[in-house]
Amino acid sequence: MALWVDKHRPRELSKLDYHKEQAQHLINLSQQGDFPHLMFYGPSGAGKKTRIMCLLRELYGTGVERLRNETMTFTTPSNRKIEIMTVGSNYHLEVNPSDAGIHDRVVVVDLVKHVAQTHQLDPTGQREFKVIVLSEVDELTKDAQHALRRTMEKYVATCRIILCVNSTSRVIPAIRSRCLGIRVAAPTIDEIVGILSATCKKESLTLPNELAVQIAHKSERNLRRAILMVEACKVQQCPFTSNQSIADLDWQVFLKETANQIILEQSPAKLEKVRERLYELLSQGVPPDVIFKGLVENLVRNCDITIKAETVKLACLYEHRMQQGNKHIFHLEAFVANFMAVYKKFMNDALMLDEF
Amino acid sequence: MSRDIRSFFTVNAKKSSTVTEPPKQQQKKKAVIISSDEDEDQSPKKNKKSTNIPSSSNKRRIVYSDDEDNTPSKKKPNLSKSVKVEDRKDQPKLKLVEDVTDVFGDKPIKRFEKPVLSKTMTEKEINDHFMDDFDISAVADFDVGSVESKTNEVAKEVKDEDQMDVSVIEGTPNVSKSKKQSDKRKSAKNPSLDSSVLSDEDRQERKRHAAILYQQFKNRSGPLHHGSKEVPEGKPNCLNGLVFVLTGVFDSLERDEAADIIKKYGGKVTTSLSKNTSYIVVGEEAGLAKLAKADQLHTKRLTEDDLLNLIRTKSGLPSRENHSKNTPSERKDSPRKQLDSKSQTRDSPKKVKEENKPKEIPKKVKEDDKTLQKNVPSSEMPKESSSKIKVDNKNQKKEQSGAESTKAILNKSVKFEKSEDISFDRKLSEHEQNIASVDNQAWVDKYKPTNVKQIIGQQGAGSNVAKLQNWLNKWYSNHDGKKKLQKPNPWAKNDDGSYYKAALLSGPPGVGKTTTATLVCLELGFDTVEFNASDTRSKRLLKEEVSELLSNKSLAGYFHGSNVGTTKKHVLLMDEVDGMGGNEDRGGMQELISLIKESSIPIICMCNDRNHPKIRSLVNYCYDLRFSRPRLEQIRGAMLSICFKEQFKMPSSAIDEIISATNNDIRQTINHLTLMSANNSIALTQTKQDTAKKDMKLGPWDVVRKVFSAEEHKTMSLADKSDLFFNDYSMGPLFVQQNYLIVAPKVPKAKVPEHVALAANSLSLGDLVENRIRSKNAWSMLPLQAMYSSVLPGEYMAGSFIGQINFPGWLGKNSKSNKRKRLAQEIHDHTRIRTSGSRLSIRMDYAPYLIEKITKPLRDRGVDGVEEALSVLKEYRLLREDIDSLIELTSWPGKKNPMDAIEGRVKAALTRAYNKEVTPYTYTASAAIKKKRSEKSTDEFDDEYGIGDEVTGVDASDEEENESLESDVLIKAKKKPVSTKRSDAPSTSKKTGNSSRKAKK
Repeated sequence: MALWVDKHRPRELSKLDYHKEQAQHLINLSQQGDFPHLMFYGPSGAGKKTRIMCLLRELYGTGVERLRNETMTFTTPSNRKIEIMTVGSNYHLEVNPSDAGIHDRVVVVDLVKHVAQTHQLDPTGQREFKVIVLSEVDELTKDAQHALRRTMEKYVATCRIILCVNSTSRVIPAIRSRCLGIRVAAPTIDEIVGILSATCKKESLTLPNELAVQIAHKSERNLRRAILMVEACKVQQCPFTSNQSIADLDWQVFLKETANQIILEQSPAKLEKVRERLYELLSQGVPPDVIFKGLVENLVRNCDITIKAETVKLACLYEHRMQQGNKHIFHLEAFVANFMAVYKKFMNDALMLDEF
Repeated sequence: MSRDIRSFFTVNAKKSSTVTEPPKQQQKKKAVIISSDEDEDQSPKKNKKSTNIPSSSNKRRIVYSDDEDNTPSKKKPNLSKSVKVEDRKDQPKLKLVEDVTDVFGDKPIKRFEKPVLSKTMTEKEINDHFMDDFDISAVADFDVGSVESKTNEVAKEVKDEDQMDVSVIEGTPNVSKSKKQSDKRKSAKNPSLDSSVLSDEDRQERKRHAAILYQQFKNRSGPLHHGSKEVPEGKPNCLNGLVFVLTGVFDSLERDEAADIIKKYGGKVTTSLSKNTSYIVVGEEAGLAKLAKADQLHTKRLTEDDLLNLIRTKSGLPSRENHSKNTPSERKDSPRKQLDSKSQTRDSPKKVKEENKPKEIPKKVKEDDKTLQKNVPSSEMPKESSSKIKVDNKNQKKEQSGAESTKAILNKSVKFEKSEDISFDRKLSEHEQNIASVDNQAWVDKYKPTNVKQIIGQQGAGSNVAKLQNWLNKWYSNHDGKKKLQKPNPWAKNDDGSYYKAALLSGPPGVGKTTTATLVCLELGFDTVEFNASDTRSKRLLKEEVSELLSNKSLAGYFHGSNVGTTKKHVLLMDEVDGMGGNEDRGGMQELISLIKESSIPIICMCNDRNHPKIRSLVNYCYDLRFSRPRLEQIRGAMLSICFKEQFKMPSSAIDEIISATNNDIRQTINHLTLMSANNSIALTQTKQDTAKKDMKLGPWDVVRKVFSAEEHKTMSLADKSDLFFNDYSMGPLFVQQNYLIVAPKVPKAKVPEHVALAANSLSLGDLVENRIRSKNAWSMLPLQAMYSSVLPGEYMAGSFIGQINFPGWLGKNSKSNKRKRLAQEIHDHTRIRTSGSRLSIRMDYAPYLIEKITKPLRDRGVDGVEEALSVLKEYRLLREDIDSLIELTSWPGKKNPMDAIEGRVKAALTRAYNKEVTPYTYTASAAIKKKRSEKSTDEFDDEYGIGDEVTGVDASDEEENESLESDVLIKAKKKPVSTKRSDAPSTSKKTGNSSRKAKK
């Protein structure tokens, strides 16, 4: 019994709910017999993986759905052994090289080469190439990306590489230019509402439109999250009501509370408590940029108009530093400390003005 | 020893030796007293002989006291004497036998008398003692003379042997003693003969003994307060016509310096006493023989102070102190502490008297020209009552009697030391002259210790030098293959290392390890073969070349013209063994260990860090001698004396600073002194003081305290502050970041948030720099990081701590977040087939819903919900333990664990059902192995470390493990073919159930 999000995932390009035109293009592409390397990019929960699987099915038939796990071992130059879990069928292989951390280059070079170098023995009735799906390519190190770009050219006869990327900005231009980019934009609110209703219908439930819109907004146009939320709502309260509350995610609650505490008091002791909370968020795997974003949103909402710009400026500065730095907490803390200083100064000034 | 002499004359030496051995021992106890008796017996003989000499110098006259002492003087003048020497060869034997009988006959009777005579005894003893001194002075004088006339080395040997003989025979009369000396002298002249008769052991024994005595002499310290006294500027030639003899160690002057001073003012310095000697300048540990002779000659005694005062008075300056009356006697007595107080009190007035009329003495001596010892005491003590002399004589007659044997022995030993002193004094001065002559040598080489006692901080019986000497000495007897030695307990305190074939000297640089090893070998007469880091010390080289070397004999003796000849005694010095390694010296350590196991010679290894992993295996085979840094006071004296010798003024406080700045590294200190002397400015030492303080290494706790302490900042420069960072630049910034918020900065309260913000900002910049440093290896930017990560926050937040300093939380949090990341990765891997999201989305979106989906039915419906939960698990291909991971990933402070509400039996039912129904996945086995491995990993790491640089070993074990892992996986795979998505038809195999249960653990 799977979650709805997996249960009702479309398996064919023709059955996709949105970006239908794009889906048609993909169908045409697959029917052509040959196609270039592809790069699917778009935000999380927009349906990139779903489209990739649909495309593969279009290419190879239902055989691609017979997935299996395989563990592959690689040896780094420093004699360390790395195990990478791959998912694949007879026709394709899906890898996330960034699992190997800083040794991802070895994975890219060894695995991609290994797969790409083997030719199909009997090409009749089958495609001449295999497909390698690389996920989270934007997380790859620069080294690995450079290693990839050569293999992409060299083995183009025997394999196609499909990259799955959140943001192209972290992919080196050399790779971007070698791929046909396919943008999978997040679905619009209306699309989400439609999908949610359809899903509920499949589960023989009726979803009030107001609730659907509310969920769609809350999910930040992340379809996966939206469907998961609907299911959670269903668990909470079975016949949906239009004004029922939607449970926030724990980390969101926690982040919001942290922001409130910053507004509440500005002192070194408080900063130390905030630091602890930030540590907790980080250790829970909430990406530091998400933390930054959440903090800024909540802080800006609660502070005076005169220091809003200042807050955003500070956030930009420290977020940028964080990307270049190593220890995220240093920069998060610096942001909080600076915001506290600005806020405190503003409050004191305001107090003085009142007295006059 | 007596055996040796006889063996020299007769063929069946060994038989006779057995006869005389018992008396030898008894004689030892009686010692001196016998001698005086013997003297009386022999006096006629002596007279006879002395008449043969046509003319004799002053020196010789004294020498006559022992007839044997004539021999050297006779050697030169004419043939007849040499004939006599030949004749006399027979005499000693006879005499010795006589002596022995005497001894035996008298001994028991006198023993009874002893208590009765106690009062007169002391007097007698003194007299005896006096006589002894007299004898010895003669011997010593002779020694000095002969040594000077001959080549140094031979002479030294002769003398050494002489002393040894004497010491061994001890109890035998002086005459026989000196007789032997003459014999020895002869034997020394043709060593081949000597060695042919003497067994190897004997020689070794003798040499050892001599070496020890020699060493004792060498151990004499230098001037205690070198340069502490002001040398007066006297008038030129104020000491004109005066003849001085110097003896002992002075308080503030080196002997050479004293001699120079005397010469400067026109005085004359001689090495031996004569009637022309006007003064004897006495220092600490003065040569007893010289003192005795001075007494005999009534030479005036001076201390160092007296000498300086003498210069002052002679040149008309006011004298400083006037303790010339008292000190000389004290000085004289100090070396003879063993004597009872009575003798001292008696001595001093006598001395005073003598001093009153120095002019008379030579005359008297002349009168006594041909009289012998017996007369000498009387002439020396003219004012003493004749009864006393009678008592003396009486005592002498029955003197074998009740002399306290111990006292006598003490006297003897004192004597021997003294006689050594005299001759070696000369040697030392030669060495010092050497120092003066070679000017372009580095000070470190120039003032390198030339004997073991000069090694700083290595005096005393418990020192490493003594231990090493002892060990090396006993080496051959310990390792002759007969003894079965026990490996000592590693915690045994006073192990002499006899079990070990090698010694390991370890300690910081500049404390004298190498010097110690070479000097000890030198003094014990070992040849050294040295290998240090500049030699290749690979396995092959050690095996072929060194082991070959070790079986050879050394020809060094031949080439250096000494009479030693070939020796089998070498030592292998492996210097800087911790430098062994790398490709050049591959396998060297193993080979060294096997070399030690089989070695037929002692091996001395040296290293700096005995805890180094490379050394660790070697330590088990070595006698462990650890050198610690000498204390400041120990170094200071030596440094002051160097300064003095170099005529370079340096306040001792400055020297202290240098020593502590170099962390008590002697070599470094001397190098610094060289620099100072070149600059010749004391001002330099002022800056030195600060640097000395800085060299202390601080822990991160102290560092962070200093970083934020406003008090400390007052005295610190910017460089000092940034140096704090460099104490530990990896931990420092973390400590600062952790603790800057618990400081109350000394600023107005309103400004605090601003300062906190500034500090945080600078820390954030510091992190940028650090990342740059680490990723680009740009270590030259460390000072920049020091500013950002330590100095600036410290500056902004300077104040006082209001809370407890904490250990950086970042480390713990970081490892926690890494662990969670790994768990998320696993879940992501397992659910990959069913889900589409990335790891992040699995974690942030899926996880809470997934765990809810699993636990909800269990919570609501108990055991009935197991089926539903299990179906979710199956759908997402999760393992049973993934539930725990999911719970950890979704836990937040203040949120309750979804599993807590579930009853225990429901959980158990779930586990049972899971094991029953779910077929293992490909990753099931590996998950179990991973778990096992992580448990193992700590041990493994240790092993690897122990093996050290042997990469092959590690590899082999790794492969082995891998094989076992793979076979493990295969076993499971055979039972359950790799399950594809659709083929998870439930199969109920007990075995797989077990295996996964195991995996869970």
